[in-house]
Amino acid sequence: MRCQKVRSCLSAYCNDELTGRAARRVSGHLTGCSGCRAEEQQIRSFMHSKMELNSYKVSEGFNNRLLDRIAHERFAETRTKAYFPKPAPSLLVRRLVPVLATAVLAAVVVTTSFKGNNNVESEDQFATSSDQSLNNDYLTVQPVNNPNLTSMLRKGWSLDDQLNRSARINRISQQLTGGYPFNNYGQGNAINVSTRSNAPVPFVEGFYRVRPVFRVFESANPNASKEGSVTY
Amino acid sequence: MSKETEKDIDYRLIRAVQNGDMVAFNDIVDRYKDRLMNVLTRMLSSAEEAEDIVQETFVRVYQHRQSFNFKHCFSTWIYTIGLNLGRNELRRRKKFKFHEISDMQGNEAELSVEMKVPTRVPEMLNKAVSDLPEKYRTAFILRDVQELPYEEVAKILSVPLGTVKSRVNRARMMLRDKLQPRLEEQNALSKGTLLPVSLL
Repeated sequence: MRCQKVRSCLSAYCNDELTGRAARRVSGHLTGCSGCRAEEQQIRSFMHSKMELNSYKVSEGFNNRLLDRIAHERFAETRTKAYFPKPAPSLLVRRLVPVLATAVLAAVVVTTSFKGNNNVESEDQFATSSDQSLNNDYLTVQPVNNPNLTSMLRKGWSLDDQLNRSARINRISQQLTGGYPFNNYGQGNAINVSTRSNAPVPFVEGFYRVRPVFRVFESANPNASKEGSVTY
Repeated sequence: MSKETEKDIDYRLIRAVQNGDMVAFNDIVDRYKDRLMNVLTRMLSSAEEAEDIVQETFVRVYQHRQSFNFKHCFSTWIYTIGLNLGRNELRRRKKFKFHEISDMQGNEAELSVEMKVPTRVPEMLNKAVSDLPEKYRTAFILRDVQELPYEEVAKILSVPLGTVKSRVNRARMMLRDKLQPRLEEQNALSKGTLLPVSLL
């Protein structure tokens, strides 16, 4: 065994950390090599001096200070957390959470869509089957397919007033068109009355403009459910 | 009945602490406070700071008592916590440099006392240990001062066993080189050899 190799493991040898064949080879080398023996002496004296290292100790009252602090920690723990800590969710639950969430979301969407359809049907049923029991106070006239006509509604009017108004408009429109109902929702385009070839034109050509206005609920008053038009 | 080992005692105590036994926690403090203090004082070179870190270590142990894994040694766990806190402190020191008020006042007399070169072997050894690079110092302290087995030191430092052995060996060689003149002098004195006056 070479000196360099022996010196690299001398400290382990002096600490009895070498065993078996390695320890025997080192001790064999040391018996015949004075240089390595001197090195071994130095290491052993260093090991001996190592024992003289100061041992540090905590100051007096360390335990009391620590236990005071722990008591504060415990107090804070009971104030802010449950006494029995909540166990961490298992791996299986953590993996199932997104799947369950997706399933619940899908179920909610399907349920609400079915409910929505049912509501529409029930509203229709309500409108057609319970005509007689309708309370006029809750009914109103709505513009159809033309949001621009919202301004023509009168909020303070009762249903009867609005029906009267719609009947009046229908009457005027029938006068204008000769009894032909309007099917043409002009979307704001002016229809010149005189262009209708079959309609009698009691007024001066180009003077009147005809626009579809609104219709009332059929269930509320079947007679007044005509599409009206107004002319001014 | 077989004798209870250190490991078994630790397990029994930490299990009692987990069940809310504060007397057992006090026993754990008594068993480990000086060991931790010894390691951390050498690591931080300041007894006051080391004591704060020791206290913080026990607080962490108490806070996380339920998460202790019985597959590992309790001593490994507590040393790991303490050393991690010590490393954090060293990192903080590097970030913010602290100056003593006495340094600012320029009291030369006090400074000269502070800067006095240690002459006794234990003092020299302490100084040499504190001058070691951190990774060698920690491995040396855990192995040679605390006398923990290499395997446990490897677990505490999270490095392979061979790395621990090499670090400890290198630390020993560095310390021996630093202390060699003084040790030779001591040996010569013990043998009664005449020495030049300058060495006495």
